[in-house]
Amino acid sequence: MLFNSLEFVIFLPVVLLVYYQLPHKWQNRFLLVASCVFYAAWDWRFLFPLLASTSIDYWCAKRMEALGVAGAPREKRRPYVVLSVVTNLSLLGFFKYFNFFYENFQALAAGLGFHPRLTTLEIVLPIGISFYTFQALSYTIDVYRGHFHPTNSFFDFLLAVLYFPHLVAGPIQRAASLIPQVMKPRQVTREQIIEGIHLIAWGYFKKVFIADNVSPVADRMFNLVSPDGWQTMIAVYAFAVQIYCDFSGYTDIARGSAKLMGFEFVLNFNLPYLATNPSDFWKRWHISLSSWLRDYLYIPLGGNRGSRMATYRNLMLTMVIGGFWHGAAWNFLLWGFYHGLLLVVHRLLEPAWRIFDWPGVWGRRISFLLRMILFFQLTCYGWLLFRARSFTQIFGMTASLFRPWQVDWTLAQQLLPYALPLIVVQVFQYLTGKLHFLDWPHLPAEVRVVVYSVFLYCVLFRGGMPQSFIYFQF
Amino acid sequence: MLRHIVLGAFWAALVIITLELCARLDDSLTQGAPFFGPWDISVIYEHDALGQKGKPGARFGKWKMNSLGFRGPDLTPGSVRILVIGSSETFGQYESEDMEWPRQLERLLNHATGSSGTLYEVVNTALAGETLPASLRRLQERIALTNPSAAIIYPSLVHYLWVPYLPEHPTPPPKRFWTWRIQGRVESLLKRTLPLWLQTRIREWQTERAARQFSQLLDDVPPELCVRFRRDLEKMLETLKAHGIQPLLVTHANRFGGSVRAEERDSLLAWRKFYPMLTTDGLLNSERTLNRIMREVAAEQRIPLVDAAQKMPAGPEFFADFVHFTDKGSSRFAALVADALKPCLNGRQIRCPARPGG
Repeated sequence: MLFNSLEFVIFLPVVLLVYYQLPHKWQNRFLLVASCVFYAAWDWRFLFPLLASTSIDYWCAKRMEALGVAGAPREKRRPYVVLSVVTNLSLLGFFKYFNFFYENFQALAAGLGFHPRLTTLEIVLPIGISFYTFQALSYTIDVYRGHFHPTNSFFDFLLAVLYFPHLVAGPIQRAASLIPQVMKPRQVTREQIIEGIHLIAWGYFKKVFIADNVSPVADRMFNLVSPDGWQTMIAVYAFAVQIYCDFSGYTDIARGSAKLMGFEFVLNFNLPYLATNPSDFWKRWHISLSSWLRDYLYIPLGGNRGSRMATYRNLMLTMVIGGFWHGAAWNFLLWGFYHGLLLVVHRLLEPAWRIFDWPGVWGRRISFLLRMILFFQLTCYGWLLFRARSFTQIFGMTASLFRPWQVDWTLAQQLLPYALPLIVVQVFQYLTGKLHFLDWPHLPAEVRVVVYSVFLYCVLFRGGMPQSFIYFQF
Repeated sequence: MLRHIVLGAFWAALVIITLELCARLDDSLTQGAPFFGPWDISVIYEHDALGQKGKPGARFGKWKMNSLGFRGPDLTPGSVRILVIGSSETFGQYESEDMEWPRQLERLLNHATGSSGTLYEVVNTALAGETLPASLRRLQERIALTNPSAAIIYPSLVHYLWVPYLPEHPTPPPKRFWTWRIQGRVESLLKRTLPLWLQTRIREWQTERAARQFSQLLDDVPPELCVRFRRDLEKMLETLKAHGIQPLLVTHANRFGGSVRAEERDSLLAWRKFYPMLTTDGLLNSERTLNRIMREVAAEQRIPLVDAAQKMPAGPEFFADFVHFTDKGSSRFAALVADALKPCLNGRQIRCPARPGG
């Protein structure tokens, strides 16, 4: 059940209507059933790997807690966290990466003159597996580290993992943040309702009006056999707008839906294209993933506590794994490597960057603007690596940037009507410091209704051809 | 309680007004529509004593009228013209711009004869909803305006069932001072999003309600209407022949072909909604009866006939709804007509070999 489907548009109000009538205990049970229905709407068989991993994680966490209470040393708890990690990563590895490794193994063997006769598997990737495995891992690892006491209720844990707004594409919720919200009675405040409606409206606008309308432009340009530099530039700009609006739109709808039920999800996007350097970018883009990678991968690897070279190695490793998390393809690995490289180069050149620290208010503003524009180009080049379907395409499109450009303004005209509202709103958000750009104490409710009606018009009557969310494939 | 109702009504009104303003702004920006006043398909029509006709130079969406009020480009001086008489299937409903079958036919004929430029010009005089008597009323005027060498007649047959209910002297529809532009958008949105079974139920209900005004539902075209249809058709052919215009008759094709498959029942019901005086079987029977009359008239008068009812493949690939073509359907249809016309083309002359009598 996609967020941008009629089914969900009916499903959510029905869930809310029933939810508001129930006491807390029944609310949780009802949400669990609703989440199962939501997930099973794709394929009911997807529920089995999810149930298997949550059952093992729950049991492991309980065992670790019992050992902790008994005063057992950390080493005694380690097998359980290892079991949880192995289970989750095996599930992920099997469903998501089996075919990738299999195909590459075959290609490598063929290159070496071997032709092994292996059985192929037709594996259907369960929706959201990358998200819920990471979320479940955070639970057992936090319990192992003693940061969090496991819940006594399997159903509460199951609901935390299965809760439909974040199930298929995040934001990746930490157990420490979500499970207490599941366990405690929730009060839906007026502010949460206002904020929730705002997030849902803005999320749909970004997804249906912007991303779905820009998608054909990006697709067309990326399908060109030999694009020139201008076409490549339009292609990556269009994809930059598309992927941001697609994913942040999804996240906003998820966060808004959760708020209407009294849940608070972590912020996942914070004006990422206004980042001035790679480190800043990863504090603004897919924050729930980047912070997960930081806490459960980069820091355990040593973070920046070791030598300079060790820090660079840790950065590269974290980003390459982060890239590979997105999909079982070489271009995602390359994209991760590219971002790792940007982080390393940024650290290396940090002293040199200071020449852009100009004095005065205007000096700072111009410096910010220049850095932001420069880093946006680097981010966009990263999207070329992410979106391209082959290395040949990457090389071809990269080379086109250095050949003469044939400027065709009609291409820009296809992109601008959709990119412009985004730019205007983001600049406004940045200048006011308010992500909820209609959150003004004396703003009449009528103004909000008018703005949301304009969004409604754009979504219902000016939306692009319905497309699935890009991040669902991950 | 009352306060809540009033407040709710106020918010609802605010939403509707905003949506309407957005629709008007959207039309103005994207289509150059006036912000006030009506903006729907009716803007390309006007009315006179003979009834509805195309408004010269008008435009709505993909539909553009030329300076004579016909769909398509302005006429080229010195071309050999082929008049097309018909209804919405010919005017073009779902096809992309310039893909309606008369435009495609023109390209095929010029390509087949190797004409540089537009030697053969196909003039699409069809209008959506036009009945055979309405075409007949306009025929002299259209001949005078276009001076054609040939005419292709592709009437929407079951439209004829409405003829007894239409006023003898056409009256223009009442002038509307206000139309909700958001209404059409909501309707098409519902068509796109509502499940098919629900749409079918709604249509059934609407058809049943509309059918109540008819004392008895018809299983076929009444005999007196068959006589009248034949007379109108003969009169049209007579007028064309009197002006030295080569006629070509085309039987009416629909999505269902010979029989209605189970998965096509919804489409059939959607079609029936426009003809509530007929039963579902009556719709297909009427189509068969009137096509039979067309074949008989063509045979009697020894004029060429394209039996599109037999030759057009059925199904959604070729028909976007019950009778209107997809791009592919209009291509196939144009090819059928072109094949029939090609033997008749002789430079600037169009003369078809006489068919053996039937």
